[in-house]
Amino acid sequence: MDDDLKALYQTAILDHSRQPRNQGKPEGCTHRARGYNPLCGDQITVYMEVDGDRIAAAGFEGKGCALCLASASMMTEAIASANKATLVNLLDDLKLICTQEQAETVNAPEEIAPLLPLSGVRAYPVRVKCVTLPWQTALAAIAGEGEATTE
Amino acid sequence: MSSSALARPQGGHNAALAFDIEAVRADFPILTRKIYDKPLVYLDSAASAQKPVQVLQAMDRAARTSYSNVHRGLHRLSQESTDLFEQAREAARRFLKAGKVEEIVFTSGATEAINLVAGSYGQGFLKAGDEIIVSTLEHHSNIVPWQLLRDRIGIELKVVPIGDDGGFLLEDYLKLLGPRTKLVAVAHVSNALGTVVPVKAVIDAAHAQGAVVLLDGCQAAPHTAIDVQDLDVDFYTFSGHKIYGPTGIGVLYGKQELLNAMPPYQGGGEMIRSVTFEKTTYKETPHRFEAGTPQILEAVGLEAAICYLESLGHEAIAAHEAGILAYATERLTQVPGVRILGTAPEKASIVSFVMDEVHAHDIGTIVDRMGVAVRVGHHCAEPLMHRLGVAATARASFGLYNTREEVDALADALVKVRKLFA
Ligand SMILES: Cc1ncc(COP(=O)(O)O)c(C=O)c1O
Repeated sequence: MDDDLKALYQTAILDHSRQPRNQGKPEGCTHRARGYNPLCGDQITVYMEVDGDRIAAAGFEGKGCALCLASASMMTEAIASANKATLVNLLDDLKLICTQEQAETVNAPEEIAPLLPLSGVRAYPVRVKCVTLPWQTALAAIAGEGEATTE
Repeated sequence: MSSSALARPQGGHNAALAFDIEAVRADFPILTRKIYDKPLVYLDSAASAQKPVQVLQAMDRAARTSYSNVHRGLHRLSQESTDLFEQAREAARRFLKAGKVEEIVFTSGATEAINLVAGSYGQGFLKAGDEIIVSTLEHHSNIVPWQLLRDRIGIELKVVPIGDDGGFLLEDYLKLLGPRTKLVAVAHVSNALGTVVPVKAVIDAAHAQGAVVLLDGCQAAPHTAIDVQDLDVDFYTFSGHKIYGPTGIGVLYGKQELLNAMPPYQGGGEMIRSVTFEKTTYKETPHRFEAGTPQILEAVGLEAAICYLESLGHEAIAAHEAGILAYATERLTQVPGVRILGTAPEKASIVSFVMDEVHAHDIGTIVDRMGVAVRVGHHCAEPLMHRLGVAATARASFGLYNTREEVDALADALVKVRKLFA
């Protein structure tokens, strides 16, 4: 199997997609949004318990490809107990590492580290939206928008 | 062809019809391409088919030697272009076995043809409360134009259900037909599943109710011989790019008396008889529906594609593809975790499938790296996907140039997908 494929479907991605963390709605859910990728039909709902500026808990459910599910699963871990600004910064960083060969300027170098396996999508530009969909959905939830699409 | 004797289509006579697959493949320059250093295995002809040199050369030759605008110049080149353009119309007539060239309208593709009928026939002959029947199998382009019409004039849409095998449920269709049914618009062959719809029965029953029928022949035209007179269908459409011709051109067949009774669809040059600011009169079909400069070089390419199909012979193409379909069905069924969607008894060479635990998009990405091009997604048939309970499928569609070795390449790639995710 070629190296790009191995980098894309590395163990961490397969593990998260097969056994997604934080599936379902957290108890104290205050915000939610549905995300949809019309291109491939990925469909997820992101739930968050937001307390002031802090994201107390995050969860999700839905159907999607391995990249979308892994990204959603990793996201729920990365943003639990982070503040809203971190979510925004992380999405920026994620876009960088998913599109650029040498992404130097990362906003949140520490928090981005566990998300690095997602950067394998760099070699597959048409799949970047699969990775960013959960994050955009989370942002929509916080903004009270209810829906996000990749279009 | 391959050494495998598997899955020969029934009836030994088919063997005699076979064409030289290597010679056919040599006509398609793109088939020598490498994708990520692997030989291209192109299994996405249902989305768009590759073009043989005969098509490319015909367009090139016309552009180099005979090109000008049509129907409007006195000069020599305009006459030559007009002749080529009208010769292409004759080829399309022959292809559909239509009675008259006047019944052949060139459009930009099937999508425009369906919009033309919805807009023009809809405006001229339909009113609030009338019913239009489509089926669950439809491509969005045979759904949305009718919805737009519904929003404009208040017609109602009825939908024929399908069975679990993706088959068109004729009994249910017959129950939907009624005195308010004015138009039936269904696919001849489903693009997502390959199901062949029993169109003859559909048409006869519609006519018995006084309804007209439009067949979306996009996925039938590449695979089967079509005879609009034998079908007695009122409207038939297909796109050039799916029968190995160029993009940007398609055909709408319509019965002459219907077309001549329909109001124009778009206004402009070419479609008028005379224009004053007070009153404009329109030409008869087909020119009434061909406003503006038409697809001249594309028409030349379309004719070349039709001639190409004729040179191989519809029966030989059908026999070849039936063999590939049977072999692909067998091979894919053997891949662990693969489930084929669409197993109706009569199918064109299209195989839609899903794999346990692996999303279609991941399948598409992985097999692409092995040089295998399949389409993944909802195939512009979201209502069908809902009916099947899936968000997306992977679809391998086979054309006249595909081989059993290519089926093997797909099956092997799928086994690797399976391993990666196991
Ligand atoms: C069954 C069917 N109908 C309609 C269309 C639309 O054809 P086009 O995009 O060429 O207008 C397609 C092509 O995808 C199709 O497969």
